[in-house]
This record gives sequence, structure tokens and C-alpha cells, in this order.
Amino acid sequence: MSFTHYFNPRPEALDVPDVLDYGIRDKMMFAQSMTPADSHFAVVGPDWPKGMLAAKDAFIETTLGLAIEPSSWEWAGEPAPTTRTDVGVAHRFVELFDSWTKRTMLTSSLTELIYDIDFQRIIALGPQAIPHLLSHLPQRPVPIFYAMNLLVDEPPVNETATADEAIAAWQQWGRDRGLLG
Amino acid sequence: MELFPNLSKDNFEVTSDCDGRYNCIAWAAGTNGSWWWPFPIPLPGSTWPAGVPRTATVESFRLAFASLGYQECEDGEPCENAEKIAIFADAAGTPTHAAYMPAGGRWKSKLGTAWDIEHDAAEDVGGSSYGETRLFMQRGDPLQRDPGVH
Repeated sequence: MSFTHYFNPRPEALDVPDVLDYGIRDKMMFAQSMTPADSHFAVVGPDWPKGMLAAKDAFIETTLGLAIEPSSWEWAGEPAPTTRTDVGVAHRFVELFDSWTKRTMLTSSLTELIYDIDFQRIIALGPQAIPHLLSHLPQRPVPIFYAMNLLVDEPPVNETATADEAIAAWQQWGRDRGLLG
Repeated sequence: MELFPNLSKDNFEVTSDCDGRYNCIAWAAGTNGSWWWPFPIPLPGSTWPAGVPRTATVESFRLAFASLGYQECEDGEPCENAEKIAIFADAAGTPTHAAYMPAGGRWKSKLGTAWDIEHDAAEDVGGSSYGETRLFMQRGDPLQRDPGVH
């Protein structure tokens, strides 16, 4: 899956770093406004039902404190440009990962882990999150597999792989691409 | 808010390091190599018994453990001839946790992505984190468990 549908705010909205710098995109927008089952089917695509677009806007307004118009969502066919440096992404990733880990440390529910707002924000970092996700794989592998499956067009493992098999395959995939030391 | 109001230094001990590859449900089911949860779509490293609804309900969890040979029982009292599991759920009835007790042994819980612990009573891990016990099950013919699980 590629990022082909992104948040393209109007210039006056660009002073909010969470949106532009971190490249918040489709996949984080429904964690609190839709049920997990709904959001699973609402991950990507240019053909969003109007209700989902409204939910995205509502999420941004209520959670990020932004006021935007639905028309600011545009189909562009290319990933959104980001202005944040790699260092900034790394910092943001660690911030979100730590918050997610602390809040869900005792959770056994995969649904809660994956639809947690900070994990959705990690996914919303987009491809820049991939090296960081790979380096954190052993800590919380299954949710990260979910994220990687969204961020990479052709995942190197299928759903029947064990955790250890999938960790090894993803780490090799990362090393082959210079994304993992 | 206390996460585990029933745990004290006298009634539990930590028995492992943190390990995010498996959860309490998997551990109660006898494996430490995968994460058991009825997530709507299959994912690498996760498992849910074939034919059991992928819905987070106590009934689905009952069916999952029934597929391993467990049957409902009345309580979590130790039993010399049977191993037991306890299913916890929150106030809404959504399963939150499973604990396991080997025949004649002590209750064991894997806490999310964190540690394994042993505790005296199933209810020791109840409270704001996991709610209350909703179902006890037992089986008298223990199946093979992964090495190092218990």
C-alpha cells in the first residue's frame, strides 16, 4: 500500500507542527471517532465515504485543535511532502512509542494496542517511521507487523508466520534496504 | 488508581522478563510463541483458533479454550487432577485477561506485554486493569505446552 491520499491543509493551517511536520495522514484519523471494525475498513483510498471524511475532520478538530474544512482533503497521487528532519521524526517516534507502551503495557487486546491513538499517530508518520518500527520490532512485534503491512507495498511475510519468523524476515528486509543497522 | 489492588508483596512474584511476543491468552493456552487475540484480520505472530468467532466476547474465549479441551467449571480452587484457566472481563463484558493454573499448582498470569507472574488466587489480578473473573474452565488431560511456558 502506498500513501496516495494525504492531508493537504491550507497554508494558514500549516503553523500546527503535528499536521505538516509529522505528516499525519489517513490512517490515524478514526482511532477515537470510529469503532475498530469501522476503522479497519476505512484505512486508505480516494473513495472515502463522506461520513468517514467527516469523521477525519472531526478528529482533527477535537484532538489536534485544528479547524479545517472538508475540502482541504485532496487526492494528489503522491505522498505528502514533510518538512521535519529525520532527527525530528526519530524524536517524535520515541515520544509516541513510549507513550503508547506505557499506556498499554498491561493490555492483551490486540485491538486496543493497534487502535491506540499514539500507535495510530506512529503509523501516520508514514514511511519515515519504518526504520524506527523495524528497530523496535522485538519489543511489540504484532502491532508493528500491522503497521508495516500498511506502510509497505509487498510485505516479506504472510499472516501464517510466527512472531520470530516475521521478526527475522522484516529485519532482513530492513537490512537489505539499509534501513536497519 | 491502583492497577492491581489485590496484589501485595506477599501474594505474587515475578517469574520472567518482559516479552512482547505473546500475551496472557496465549500463555494460558500453553504457548509463548504467538499472540492470541480475535483480531478481525490474521496477522503474523498472532493466532486464534480456526472456527472460533473473531469477536472479543467471553463466549468466543470460552470456545477458544474449549477447542483445547477445556470445560467450564465452578471456581478457581486448586485441583490435583486438573489444570484450570480463568477469563477476566471488564464491566462491558469484553475479555481482558486469562490466567492459568497447572494441576495442583499456583495461578500464573502474563501481564500484557510485560512480565509473567505467579499469584495465589485468580482474583489477585482483578481490579481496574482486568476487571473481574467471568469464567473458569478446566481440563483433566493436560496437552503439551511449549517448553519454558510453565
